[in-house]
Amino acid sequence: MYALDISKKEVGMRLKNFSILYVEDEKTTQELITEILEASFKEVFVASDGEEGLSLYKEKRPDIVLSDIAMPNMDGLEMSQFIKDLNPEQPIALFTAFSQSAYLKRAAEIGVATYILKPLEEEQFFNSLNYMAMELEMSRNEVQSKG
Amino acid sequence: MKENLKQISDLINKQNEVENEKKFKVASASLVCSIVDINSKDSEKYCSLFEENFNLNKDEFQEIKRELDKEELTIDDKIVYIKKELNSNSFKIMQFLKILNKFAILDGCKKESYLEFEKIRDKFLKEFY
Repeated sequence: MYALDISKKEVGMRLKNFSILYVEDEKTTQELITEILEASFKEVFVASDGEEGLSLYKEKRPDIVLSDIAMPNMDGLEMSQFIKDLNPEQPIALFTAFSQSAYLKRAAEIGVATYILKPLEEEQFFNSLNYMAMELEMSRNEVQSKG
Repeated sequence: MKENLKQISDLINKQNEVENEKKFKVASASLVCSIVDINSKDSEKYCSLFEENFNLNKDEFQEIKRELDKEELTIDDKIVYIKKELNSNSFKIMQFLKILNKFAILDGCKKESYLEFEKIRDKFLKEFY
């Protein structure tokens, strides 16, 4: 599904300032995406289902959460709901093929605003992550200027 | 959904430093229209939401629709105009994009709406990425 070789690609330095939690149950995909994320982010935390993802989130408090939707134990939507309950401002991106509208309606209600296309497209993937990083920079600058 | 729209309109209405407030609102709203597809079956709902939340009356909304129908202004033209009005300030642009992002997922996330939002988002941000 993710026939992409972008691990060696130079990506903007912005992402190097941020940590990310990546949640995916499918091992091959998880390994490939983890490699790409490790080349781009300051820190990468990896979980294999929503339950593990939520636990890791509570422990590490990553800047960005990136997750698949359909997973065993706890799916990506339920995990996103728990995370938004803990931190309503938490930026979350979900992988989707846009084929299950009921899932997406619920995701929007939870407050998930960023979606990564399946199958993965390099430009869309990095532009979406960079956009989330820019949003984080903006809100941090806002907090600093108020402080 | 109404609460979301209230937040969105508050943000748009705070853009009172722009040179021509009405033109800015019309350009902004027409970009929103290109994302949410005002010709869809939901168009009535969006018309009233615009009226209620953007302080754009029916005549002004018709103006937006006429502008879209004439297609004299392309999406790129509107982006250039809005960027200019926002002084190409990355903070203001990001605020504006957050509004568009919310519209794209307002009624559940439809693929066409979301991808249109991304196309616009990336045009706004290409020099910042």
